[in-house]
Amino acid sequence: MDFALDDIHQMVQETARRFADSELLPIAAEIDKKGEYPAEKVKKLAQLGFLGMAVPERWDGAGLDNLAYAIAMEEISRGCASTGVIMSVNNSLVCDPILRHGNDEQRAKFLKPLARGDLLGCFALSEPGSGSDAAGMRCEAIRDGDHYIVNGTKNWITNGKEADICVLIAHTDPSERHRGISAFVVDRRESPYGIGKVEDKLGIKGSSTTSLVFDNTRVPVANRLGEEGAGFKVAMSTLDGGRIGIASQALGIARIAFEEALAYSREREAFGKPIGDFGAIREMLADMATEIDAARLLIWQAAIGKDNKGRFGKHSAMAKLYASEMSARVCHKALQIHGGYGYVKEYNAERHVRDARITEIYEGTSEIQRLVIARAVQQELVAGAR
Amino acid sequence: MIELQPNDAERAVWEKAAQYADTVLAGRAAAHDAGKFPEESVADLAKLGLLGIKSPVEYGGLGCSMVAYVGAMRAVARRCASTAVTMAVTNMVGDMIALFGNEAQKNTRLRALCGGDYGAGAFALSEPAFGSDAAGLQCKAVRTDDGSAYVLDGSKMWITSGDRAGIALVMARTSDASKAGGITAFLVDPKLPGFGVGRAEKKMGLRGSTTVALHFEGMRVPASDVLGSEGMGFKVAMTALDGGRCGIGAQAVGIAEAALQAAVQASAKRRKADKTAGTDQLSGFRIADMATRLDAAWLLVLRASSMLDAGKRATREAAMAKVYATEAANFVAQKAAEMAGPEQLRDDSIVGRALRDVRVSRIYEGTSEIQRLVIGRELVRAL
Repeated sequence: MDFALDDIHQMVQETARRFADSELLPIAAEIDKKGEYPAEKVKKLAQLGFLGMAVPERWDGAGLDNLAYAIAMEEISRGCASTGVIMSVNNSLVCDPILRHGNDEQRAKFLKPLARGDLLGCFALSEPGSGSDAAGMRCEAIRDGDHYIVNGTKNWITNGKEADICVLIAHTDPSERHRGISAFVVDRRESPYGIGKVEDKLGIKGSSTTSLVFDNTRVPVANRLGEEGAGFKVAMSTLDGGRIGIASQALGIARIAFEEALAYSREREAFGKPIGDFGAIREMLADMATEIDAARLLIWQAAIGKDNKGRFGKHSAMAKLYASEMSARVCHKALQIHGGYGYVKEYNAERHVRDARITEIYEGTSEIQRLVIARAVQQELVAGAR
Repeated sequence: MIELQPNDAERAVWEKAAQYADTVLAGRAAAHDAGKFPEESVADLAKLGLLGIKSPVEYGGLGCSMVAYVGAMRAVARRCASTAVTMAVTNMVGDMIALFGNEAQKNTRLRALCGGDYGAGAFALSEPAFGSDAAGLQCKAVRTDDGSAYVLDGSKMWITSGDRAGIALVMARTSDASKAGGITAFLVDPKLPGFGVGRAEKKMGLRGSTTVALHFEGMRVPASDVLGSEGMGFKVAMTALDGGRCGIGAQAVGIAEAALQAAVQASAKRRKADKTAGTDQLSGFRIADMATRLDAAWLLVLRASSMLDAGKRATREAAMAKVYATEAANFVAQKAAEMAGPEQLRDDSIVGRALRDVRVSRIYEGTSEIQRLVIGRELVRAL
């Protein structure tokens, strides 16, 4: 048994860490303040191969694996949570389903430029009236010859404003629930759709979150991912992988919050000694560090599970549930350690609290993760009882 | 290269322990819980090699790893926590002889320990007035004028198997010149005169394992029974605890796992009978939290163990594993009790027993508070 990273993964970690230190940490507060999309940084991520990390070189990806992706996501999100989610969506929610469910033609046309970072992707599943209950969606894609005609609105779309390519999940047979759903790659340049409301959010303000409006948008049949009716499966398996990315994002946010709190606890003095020498502060820091490590191990377990092509849905749900709630706890404590300074924007502690919060919601709320885990555990422990 | 699976030898140890625990120990656990010392089971463990999992093969051990050990510990604790703690301390004493002992000690004492000749082993560090502050211990060992022996005077407290063990690893003060540096470790033979066993504690859990005070009154211990050298005792104790903490973490995971399984099965049964709206989802949510924390706990235990196997310093990681695993396990046992229904709160039920057995894991081999202190110290040290 070995928990130490090999050379390749260490190199990925160091590269990502250096990039975060030099390029992201200096700008994270500013892009949060301005709500500005970090276009230049995303371009540089592309040059590092970080926008298609687990995509084979054959399809212009970095040819790495999901463990490398998780490691890089942690480091990048430590530098800037907004940049982290932009990267996560392109890797997990766009490249991954096209790689797994697309045909070679689709891979050549869409996956290659997405993995290179020439194009940016978004993933459209949720709607104004359906989130966790994804099968309750209303958006329709009705076949018309060699096209589908798409009508409906998608909500909470990360990268919605900047994306050129959208992986869209829609009903092709509205009379069915799960089985009537299909997945598509929509190229906004060929099949224009509208960008609706741009959300004003609590955190991750450097990434855009928009609604997408499809009004008789024509999508070629050749752009369908997998069979008609297979879309729900495509969506769910995509989210299984996406959760590894979001868990890593949550972990990265917790890391920076913790590191800043630890440093602050050594600098700030009270009653004649650093506050970090007091039991109460030290206990908080010890718990933060322990939970951070626990989350990372859960994430690695899930990522390795995906790399080994085994069943990893339970593990990725555990990683996402634990890491996101851990991140909220850690950021909360980090703010507390800073006292009043934690509450003002001169320090970063309050931003980390805001950035961490969404990780408990998107790509499956904590409640959905618990349902997924409970189902798996019940099946394991009550063999044959159902 | 990251590898989260045990190797073949380790897996074989895990499976051997699980097989024994599931088929034999499970049937004896209730009797042990009622107060019967697991003498027979400890003898069985010796035959299986499970009293010296890490000890070298040439001295009767399995010559395997910490990873093998924690997997076996988890499997045994799943069925009988009393047997598990007896096994844990015995292995710990053996590990210290293997690590710090001379050839003669390994040939005689370690061989006897692994082979089951001693029954269990005991580890005597705490005293009535010194627990977490171990370096302050007061039990005295004064070297005789001719240098052939030490005379032990003082008391030890909370000694697992202290009245049963054929060998006790005793930490005593040989010098007042230095606090931690004045402590020496002895391999004490309890049959020698001057060794007294005090009151047996009546405990909340782990009732099959004994916990006693030890009293030394002018007890002569041969100088050849010093483990390592004079003044090295604190190092021996702390080394033992780094490994011990992984073991206790694994024990806690095992106990909690049994509780989780019992609770899930009980709630599945109830679900068939009772369709009250919402209860289904609520118990599902609890199950998810319990299983997630146990998974994280087990990974932390494995990480610290694998680092120790690789010869790395793992003080921080072992402390993290211990505090996280034992607190997660207590959480799981509590939630299991809430979910499982009244019959699982009987004293002799699996969940009821787990609830009682698991509590001490947050206290012995370093309280949660001490683990956090250790982690905090290591965090600052790494800055």
